[in-house]
Amino acid sequence: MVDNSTSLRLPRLELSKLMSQTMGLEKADAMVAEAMTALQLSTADVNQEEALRILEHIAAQPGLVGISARFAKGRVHLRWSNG
Amino acid sequence: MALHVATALAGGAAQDAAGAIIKELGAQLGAHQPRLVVVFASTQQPLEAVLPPISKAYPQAVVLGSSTAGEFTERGDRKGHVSALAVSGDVGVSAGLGRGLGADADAAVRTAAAGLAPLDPTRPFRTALMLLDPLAGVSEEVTLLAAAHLGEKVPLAGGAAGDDLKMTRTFVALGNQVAHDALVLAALDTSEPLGLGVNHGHTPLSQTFTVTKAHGATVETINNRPAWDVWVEATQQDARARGMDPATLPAADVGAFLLLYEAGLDTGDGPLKIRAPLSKAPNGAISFACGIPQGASIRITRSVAQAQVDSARAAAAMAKKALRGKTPGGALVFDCICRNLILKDGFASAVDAIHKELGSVPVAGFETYGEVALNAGDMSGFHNTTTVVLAFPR
Repeated sequence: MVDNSTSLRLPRLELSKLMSQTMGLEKADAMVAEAMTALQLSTADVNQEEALRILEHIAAQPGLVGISARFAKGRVHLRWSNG
Repeated sequence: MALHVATALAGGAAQDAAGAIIKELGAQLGAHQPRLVVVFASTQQPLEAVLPPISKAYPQAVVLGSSTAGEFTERGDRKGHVSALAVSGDVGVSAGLGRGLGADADAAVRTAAAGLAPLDPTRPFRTALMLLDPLAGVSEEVTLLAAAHLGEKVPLAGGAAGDDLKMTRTFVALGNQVAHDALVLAALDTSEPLGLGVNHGHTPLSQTFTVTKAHGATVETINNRPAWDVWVEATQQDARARGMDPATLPAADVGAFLLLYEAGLDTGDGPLKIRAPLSKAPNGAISFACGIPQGASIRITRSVAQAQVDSARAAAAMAKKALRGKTPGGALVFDCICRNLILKDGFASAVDAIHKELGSVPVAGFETYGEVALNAGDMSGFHNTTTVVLAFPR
C-alpha cells in the first residue's frame, strides 16, 4: 500500500485554493504564506503533515478565516486519501 | 420504490393556507404518504400556526420549515403565501434543530447533526438539506461547519430564511419546533443520487480590487479608498448607459443600484462567488449580506435581467445532469430575494425556466437571504444572489 502522506506533495497554491471560496485566493494565499513563515516552512509544495500544520496555524484565527481553515483540513484528508 | 414529488402554493390566513396546502399535496400524492414535507411561509402565515396542522396530517413525514421573502411553485411566484414540497417513496429522512447559532455556531451545528440517522446501506446516497437563520450573522461559518461535520462525500443544499425584507427576525422549523437564531439540518438518504445545481447571472465589470479595511460584513476601504467611491468610479460608464448616475443617486435608489453591481469574490478557479452589497454608510463604507475578510480580492460585477433567467435555467440543467441519466421528478429551489428585486415581475419567468428545464416537473421554493450549495468534495458553500436547485429523480 502506498503511503500517500509522504509520497504526495501539494503545491502551495492548491492549498490556498482550499480556502479561496470563503476569503478569495489572494487573501487565502497570504494566510498560507504567513503561516509557512511562522512555521519555518519554505518549500513550494507541502506534504500532508505540513499542510495540516499550516491549516492548524490558520485555524487559530477567529471567525471565518479560522473556520475556513478547519474546513480545509477535511479537504486535505480527502486529497491525500484520493492520492 | 420510486420517488414522488408534490407541490402546493396557498395564501390567506395561516390556518386556511395550511388546510389548502394539505388538500393540494394530498390530491397529488394520492395514497402515497410523504416522508419529507418542506414548508416555506411568509411572515403573514407564522410557522407556529402553519406547521402543526401539516405535521399532524403527515405523521410519517419529517416536516421542515422556513420563513421567507417570497414563495413560489411551478404555478407561480407570490408574496404573502405558503409554498410546500412533499416527497414520498424510497427516501429516508432524519433531521435535527440546533439553537444559539450566534453565540456558538459550532455547538448549534453539532446539536442539529445529532438528529441525523446513521447512513442506511440500502440507501447509500446522502444529501443534506440546511435551513438557517441568516440574521445570526454566521451563515458562511455555519455552512462550512455543517459541511465539515457531514463529510466531503455529502452534498449540501439549502437556504437562509427570510422575513419579507423586514430584516428583524427570521425563523426555521422542524416539526412543531419553530426557532430563530437556529438551523435545521436534514439528511435525505436515497438509492439514487439527488442532483444539485448552482449558478448566478453576474459577469465581471471591473478590474480586481483588494479589500484594504473590513470588519465583519462591512467593507470600509478598497485599494485604500472609501468603498463607495470605488464602486461609483468602476460602474459609472455602465450605469450611465442604463440611465442612472451613481455619483448623484438619491439615497432611496442606492439599494437597487448595488443589486445591479454586486461584488464577486475572486476564488482563483471557476466563477466569481457573489457577495451582495446592501447599503452604504455616510463614511463611504458598504455593508454586505455576509462577511468579506480584509485582504480579499474582489471584482465588481454587472447583471442584466436575461442573465438572471439564463442562470436559473443553467442551475436546473446542472441539477438535472447530476441525476446521472435519471429523469427528474421534482425539485426544491432556493433563490435569492436579490434576484427577485433585480427581475421584479420577471422573476416568475426564472422559476418557469427551471420548471421547463427539468421537464415540467413540480418545483417549489422560496426567496432567501442567502443560498447554500456545496457539492461533494468542493469548496463552495454560502452564496448570494444565486439560484440553487436540488432535483429529485423520479
